[in-house]
Amino acid sequence: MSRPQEPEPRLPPAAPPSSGPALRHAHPAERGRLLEDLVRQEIGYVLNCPPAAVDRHQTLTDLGVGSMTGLELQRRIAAVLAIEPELTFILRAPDTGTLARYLDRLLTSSKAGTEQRDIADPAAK
Amino acid sequence: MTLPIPPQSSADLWILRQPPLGSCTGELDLTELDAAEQSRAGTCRREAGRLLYSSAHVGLRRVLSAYLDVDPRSLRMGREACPCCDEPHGRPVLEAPDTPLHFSLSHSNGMALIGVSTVPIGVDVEKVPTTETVRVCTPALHPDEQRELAAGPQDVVVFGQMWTRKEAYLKGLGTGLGRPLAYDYLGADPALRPYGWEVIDVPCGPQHVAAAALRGTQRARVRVHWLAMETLYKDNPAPLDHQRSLLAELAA
Repeated sequence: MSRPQEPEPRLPPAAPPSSGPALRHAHPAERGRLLEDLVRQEIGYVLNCPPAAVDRHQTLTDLGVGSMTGLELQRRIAAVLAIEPELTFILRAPDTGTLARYLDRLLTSSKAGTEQRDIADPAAK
Repeated sequence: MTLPIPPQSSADLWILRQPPLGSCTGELDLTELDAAEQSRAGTCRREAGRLLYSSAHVGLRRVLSAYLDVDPRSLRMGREACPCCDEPHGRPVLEAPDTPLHFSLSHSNGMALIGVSTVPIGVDVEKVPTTETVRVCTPALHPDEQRELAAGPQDVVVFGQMWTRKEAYLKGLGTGLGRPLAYDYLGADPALRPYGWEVIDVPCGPQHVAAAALRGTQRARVRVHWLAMETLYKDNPAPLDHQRSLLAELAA
């Protein structure tokens, strides 16, 4: 059985592909803010709402991220940041800031990230 | 009114359709929920989400207590250990009273689905996905599922139905989505699906897809019931009637 397809208005893609390297070079405080912005943009994308409407203090589930849109979000973040966040972490994230900090840890603990941070910021050694 | 316990190899499914905001004709009694459920219901800021969460959990307690002939407040819910990591986020279980009943709950975008059986059960209901969600999610599936989707017409309902079979099965297993989605085939051919489980597609209107998975090798049957919002209200709730609420009988 086929059913009529609803038109699917979509906001433009939230972030350019693979902004991982640029984010790794950012100052840690700045990086946290950029990552939370990215998280809210990507959640807005999969839920088809403006990023500003994505409440920072809600669980992702309460924001409306389900299992399928959670996987879509995971695949999009993986493509943009070149990391592999766990789907279950995304689905259980208590708020956008916690998800951003989790992505930050993945980003900075990946091998390339460590090397680049060492070059960019010798004091971090 | 007491509901009859589902016979061997079968399950009762209860579908709840959330009424439009502002059109409820009664109030839910949130004191029927335990502290964790009340807290979750209270922290959800979106009114529609709060109402769906509250009615799904009040509904789960009302339905289970009708099978067990006890007060909804006397039910104690817990979680089994996860088969992947042993952490306490496996299948939800009834810790009290002592009962052979298993249950599963799912809710998505205005609809909730409750499954009750004497064997381990998983249910899932989802809003029909967008073509973009399908495009991005398909590469994460089992290779044979991907081949099956590629061979057919691009259909968001076919994908969504496959997804709910998979998630219902993973909830039945107790791993949920912690188990990689590429491990198990839950495509259209029942003969190729995981041994020891019976999976049934559950029709639930034009905007949602749903499925139920029951542990066992005998041909499973499910009875689909309508869980009317009027049965959940605090004052003068309509009775939960096993016969009058029956929508359909389905077999695997």
